[in-house]
Amino acid sequence: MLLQFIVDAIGTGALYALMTLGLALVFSVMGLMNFAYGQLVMIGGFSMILLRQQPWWVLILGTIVIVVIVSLLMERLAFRPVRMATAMTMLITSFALAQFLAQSARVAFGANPRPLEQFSGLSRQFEIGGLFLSLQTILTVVVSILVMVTLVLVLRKTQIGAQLRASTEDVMMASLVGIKANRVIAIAFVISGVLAAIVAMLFFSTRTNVSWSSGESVVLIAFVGAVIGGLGSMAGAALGGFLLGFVYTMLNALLPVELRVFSDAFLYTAVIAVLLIRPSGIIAAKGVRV
Amino acid sequence: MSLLELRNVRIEYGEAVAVKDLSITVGDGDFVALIGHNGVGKSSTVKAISGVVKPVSGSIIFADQDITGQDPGSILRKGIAMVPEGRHIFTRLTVRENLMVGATVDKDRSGVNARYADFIERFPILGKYANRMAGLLSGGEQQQLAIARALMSQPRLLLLDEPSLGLAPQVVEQVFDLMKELNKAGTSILLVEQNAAQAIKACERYYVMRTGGVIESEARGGEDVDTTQIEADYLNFGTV
Repeated sequence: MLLQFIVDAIGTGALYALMTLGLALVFSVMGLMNFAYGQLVMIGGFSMILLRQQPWWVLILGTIVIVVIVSLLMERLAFRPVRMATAMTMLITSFALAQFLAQSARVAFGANPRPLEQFSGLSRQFEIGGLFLSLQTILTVVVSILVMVTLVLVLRKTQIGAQLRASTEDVMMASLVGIKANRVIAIAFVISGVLAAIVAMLFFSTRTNVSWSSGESVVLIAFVGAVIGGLGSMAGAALGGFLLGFVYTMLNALLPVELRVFSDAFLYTAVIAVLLIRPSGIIAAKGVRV
Repeated sequence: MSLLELRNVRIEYGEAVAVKDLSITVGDGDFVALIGHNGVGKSSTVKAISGVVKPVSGSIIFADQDITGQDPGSILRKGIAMVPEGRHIFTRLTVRENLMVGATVDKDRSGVNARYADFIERFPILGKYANRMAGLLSGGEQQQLAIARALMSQPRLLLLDEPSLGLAPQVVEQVFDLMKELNKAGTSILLVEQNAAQAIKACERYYVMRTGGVIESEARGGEDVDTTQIEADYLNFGTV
């Protein structure tokens, strides 16, 4: 039974790790905690509703394209004009943008959650050695691993990856070697958009509806995951997100029934404890403190 | 003929004036040093040339083009590379990656690869540690890497801001030898240094900067220059 819980927790952890990476990447490159990131996931959810009747590959590609376009517009129209402003200005801009996108979705799709027709195949169960694995869990873990490996390869093995990492470490020096800040930041937003679209597809495929407020829980998870993992560290973000999802699922599974209602309280108490012990997160990037 | 000319440059940070009215020249193939106490505006001057800060007035002419206020990338593309104070190597990138990002402005990748192969021969220590994280190198090795990274863009003019800072005397010697070697090979150099004696001996010509960012004097440099007198007269640096 415990092993079954662990398998389920790994699935949630993998999804949370992906959520966290998209937020952490943009923070690493431009020091922006983009609270509108959750709305990208929400827009991904509505894109799925719009494209639900299309072939699966159209749904996947269409969702990615829509979210990436919104992510790029976000960077170009909202964040680029305030890039040289203080961190507080950028933070407030991200809050304002999050509200703008959420309220726009409310106007466009209504205040009530919109139903999302389920992907019936994903609930198929496989029994392996007494463990029950749903196709959804397998897909989430496999996709998360593939995405993370791809991200690592892009960051480690390509010229643009080296430029991204150089910019995350020392933006002044990056400009002195001719790295174009606009290009690098736009690429970070593209990657963040792709991650948000993938998160949306994995996240909403387990749910029956999408709401204009769906992004709020996503950005909270991503933010907390990035903070406990270590702001500015991609590996830390993935680890922080994973641990958050893993512990959350395990708490819900192992706590006595009467205490499960307090699982969030236990989880965030643990988060505070982690930050008291390691104020800069589990894997702290140089020069960043929470 | 001047490769670089600063005409009446003024640099301010808010209310503070870092450089009042600076005019200097660097000829093609020259090795020029800018010396003076800490805080006289030397670093601000090279930052303005490289585009990191924008002068409030005056002009910076490079190879007959006005580059005043242009961004660092555009200035690098025109042929000015900078080795900033504190080296600023990318510690989480490998030595090889540091060198390769140094050539970001060069789109000819086969040319860049050939230059990289040449550089790791020229700087054997960088070749030895090519796949090591640059943050793990010693101070002297990091300085070599910072200079080599700047050279990867094939600059006509190399700006060096306090390259000897924090290095052991023996390593400082090596860094100065490297600068002289680069200059002999045709790269023009503008060196900013507090280590006045060594800078004067290494360069062909030097400017002494005073507080407020003005030039006190200009004189010939070289091995034969008696730096003790210069330090006593102009700088009062004490032991260098």
